[in-house]
Amino acid sequence: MPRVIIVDVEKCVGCHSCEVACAIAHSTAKTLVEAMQEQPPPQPSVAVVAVGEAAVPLQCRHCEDAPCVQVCPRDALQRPDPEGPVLVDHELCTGCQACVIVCPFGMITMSSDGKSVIKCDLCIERLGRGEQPACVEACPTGSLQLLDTADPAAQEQRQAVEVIMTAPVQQDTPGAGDLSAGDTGGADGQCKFCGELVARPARIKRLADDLGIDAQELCICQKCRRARYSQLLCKSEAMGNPADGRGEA
Amino acid sequence: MKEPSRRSVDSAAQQMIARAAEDQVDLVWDRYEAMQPQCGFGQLGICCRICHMGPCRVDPFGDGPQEGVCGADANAIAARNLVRMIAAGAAAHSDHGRDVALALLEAARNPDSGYKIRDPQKLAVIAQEYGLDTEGKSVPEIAEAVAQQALAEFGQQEGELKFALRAPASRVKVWRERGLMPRGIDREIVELMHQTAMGVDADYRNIIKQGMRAALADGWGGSMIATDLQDVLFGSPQPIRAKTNLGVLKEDHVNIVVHGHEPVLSEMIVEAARDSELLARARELGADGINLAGQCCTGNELLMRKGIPSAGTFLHQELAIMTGAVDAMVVDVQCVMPRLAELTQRFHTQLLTTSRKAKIPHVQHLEFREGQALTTAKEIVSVGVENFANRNGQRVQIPAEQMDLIAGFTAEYVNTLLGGRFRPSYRPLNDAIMTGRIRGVAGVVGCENPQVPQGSGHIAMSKELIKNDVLVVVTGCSALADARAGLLCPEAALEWAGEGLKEVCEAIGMPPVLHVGSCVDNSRILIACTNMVTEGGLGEDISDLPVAGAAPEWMSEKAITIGYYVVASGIYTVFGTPHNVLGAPDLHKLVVDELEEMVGARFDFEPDPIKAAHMMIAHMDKKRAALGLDEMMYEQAAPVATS
Repeated sequence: MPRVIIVDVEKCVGCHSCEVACAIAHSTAKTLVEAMQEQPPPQPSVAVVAVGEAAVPLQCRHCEDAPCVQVCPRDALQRPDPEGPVLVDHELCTGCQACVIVCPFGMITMSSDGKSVIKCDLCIERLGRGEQPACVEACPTGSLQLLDTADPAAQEQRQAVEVIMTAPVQQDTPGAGDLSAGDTGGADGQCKFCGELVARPARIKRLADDLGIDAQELCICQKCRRARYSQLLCKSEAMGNPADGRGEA
Repeated sequence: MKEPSRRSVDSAAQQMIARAAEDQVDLVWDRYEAMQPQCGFGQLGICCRICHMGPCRVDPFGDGPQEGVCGADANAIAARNLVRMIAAGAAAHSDHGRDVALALLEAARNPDSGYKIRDPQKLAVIAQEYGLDTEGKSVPEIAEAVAQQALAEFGQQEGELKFALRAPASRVKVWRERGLMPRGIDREIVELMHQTAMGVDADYRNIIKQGMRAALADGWGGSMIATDLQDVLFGSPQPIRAKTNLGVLKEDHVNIVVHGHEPVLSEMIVEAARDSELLARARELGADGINLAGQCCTGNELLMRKGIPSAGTFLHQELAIMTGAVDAMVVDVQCVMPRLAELTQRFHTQLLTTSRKAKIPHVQHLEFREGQALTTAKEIVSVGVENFANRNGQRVQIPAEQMDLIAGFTAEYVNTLLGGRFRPSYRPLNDAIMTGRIRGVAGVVGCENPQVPQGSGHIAMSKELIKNDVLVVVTGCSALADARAGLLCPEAALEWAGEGLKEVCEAIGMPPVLHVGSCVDNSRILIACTNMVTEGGLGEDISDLPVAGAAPEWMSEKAITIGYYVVASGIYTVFGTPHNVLGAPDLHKLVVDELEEMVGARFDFEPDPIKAAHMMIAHMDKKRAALGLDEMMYEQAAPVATS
């Protein structure tokens, strides 16, 4: 059964414990004390992002039709198990960052040594041992949950979030920082929200062609992608989530 | 981790843990598990709540913020947090010392208080140290003057703490040169709190420096005053046989457990428990008598002075209640788990708080007042006696375990112990070290922590040390953990000690592990080290001695304070789990390396008690080599490293 991590935005207190636990789970030693001494330091692939007054932990959605898998020139990004997570083969990855540019959620990052990309692997090692993903286990408030994709709560959040591919971001979205300037169209490979350079225009065009989408869609920097993603999570929360029994806040 | 054997190495504890599981009672271990995983920022010391621009935290792995809103980096943040632990620990010990000084004042001024001065000789020695004129003065007059002098040290603003001058001259010189000499007890703690307030000190080295100064104000100030004045007031301990573990509770007696840290009240409860009217009432209710048992350091204080049995250590506090046989648990201050309130409600046990500083919601509070010490103590005992009638005999389940031990060794007593009554001296101890019969002396102290199977660290470490001819001194929970394993019996030397240590123990009839008191009595270890230096042949400073300290199962802020005054006194010290400094690389390096240059000693962190023991032994070997001492007389289990 495919599984997905869902976020209960209202429960997140912004403690960043998921980030620390993620880094430890992806360290060599797997303990906090020893992970602190490792070089290069282990990196988290979950990020807690501020949205207005809320904090939202974000990680890879393991998209059904994942753009990162489609664009990787080396096939370093794969979904070996059709029901499992999208994984990076660090041996194959050259760090070309195509996946970083196309990820709609901004959840693929470069490793600190620049040799490979880093993304959530849904803690596949831990799942194999019957454990929860590290971020889920570490969350002191239960904001993160690992659910079967068939679970109504998971489906609802997934549907809400996957709207991201087509949904325009509203101009008046409060508190999203970089997004509040609104969609400025994007030009010369710059982020259409904040103006930061995303990639060379020719590269963006090529990647957009590979994916069969409008190049405009890719003219969003990682930070703004994350902001858009976290906004969507907040909205799906505001819609009310009957599955978790809390109803509307 | 539900299995009792992974929670404690003590079989009595295991039985009560199993019972709790059956009864679906949550214990400290369950709460610890529920808390997993614990906050990494807290563990690494890099979250800051000092001002309301925060809370802030430094990102240890990601590319998040590397400094707080004010700009304090990980080193400053972790250092401030760490020394605030020192401040709290020093405050706890020192406030205990202040209460003892106040009790001494009460004893001197108020003949009806119930307190007597049991060691006028030690009083005279301290009076002399303070330069008081005792000629023609009565004991209460001298006691009043000494108490006032001691109390003045808390508020002293300038100069140096009197007892800090007990340290070897070369150590005092180090403190003066490095600006570590404590001026006044309260002053150093207050200055430390100021220094770590928002926007004050951002230099982690300077922060740690004041941290050590405040720690020294505890070790050579507050704690030492507590130890010495308790000796004056309640008598200096002498070796005494006693028993420990849950088996000391008696099915047919009223059981009153005194738990916490200060003997000021519990000494009076000992008196009250012998009161004929209360005993008569107990018999009337069907009990054979009143059985008093200690817990934690209040237990240690009574154990070493009165031979009152100890029902156990920090992690035994809930387990004692689980026996269903405790009619009253009387608590004062420190290491009392608030959870006792709910747990005691599941049994008939009456929990009583007694200190105005330590109350628990919905728990009966019978405030202890020094002026009417005995009266309050009688009221307290009476609550226990009356509650015996409510005990449900069918719920009583007392583990059989109890172990003999000898407690009550002091720095002063070592003179007589090793030198004999006619030539009391540290010479025999120094000689035994110099000739290679004893490899060194280790202080294994500190708390218990559900992170570590209860007692596993203390016992394994002590056994490994004595196996390698290291004489071990213990205090606090560490002492009682070793006691449960039988290490505080003279016979332990035959079973576990190396050849050299065994010879010394056999010649004197002493255990290879010496119980030197409660946690404030770590000050006795400082004095013992000073005496070793003074005796001659082992260097000029405490940092020259082949000695080491350890806290394998620490948890309290007080343990941090002890660690820092021990290191600042020149003693290499190994903690089990690290201090909360790992998120701050420069601070971490200071603590485990650069302190050596500053004060002649440093910390190490090693959770494996055997490895930690070997680190301590290697340190002793290094010091032995530097002193040019003889090779070890007998072959060593852990050989001397040849460099």
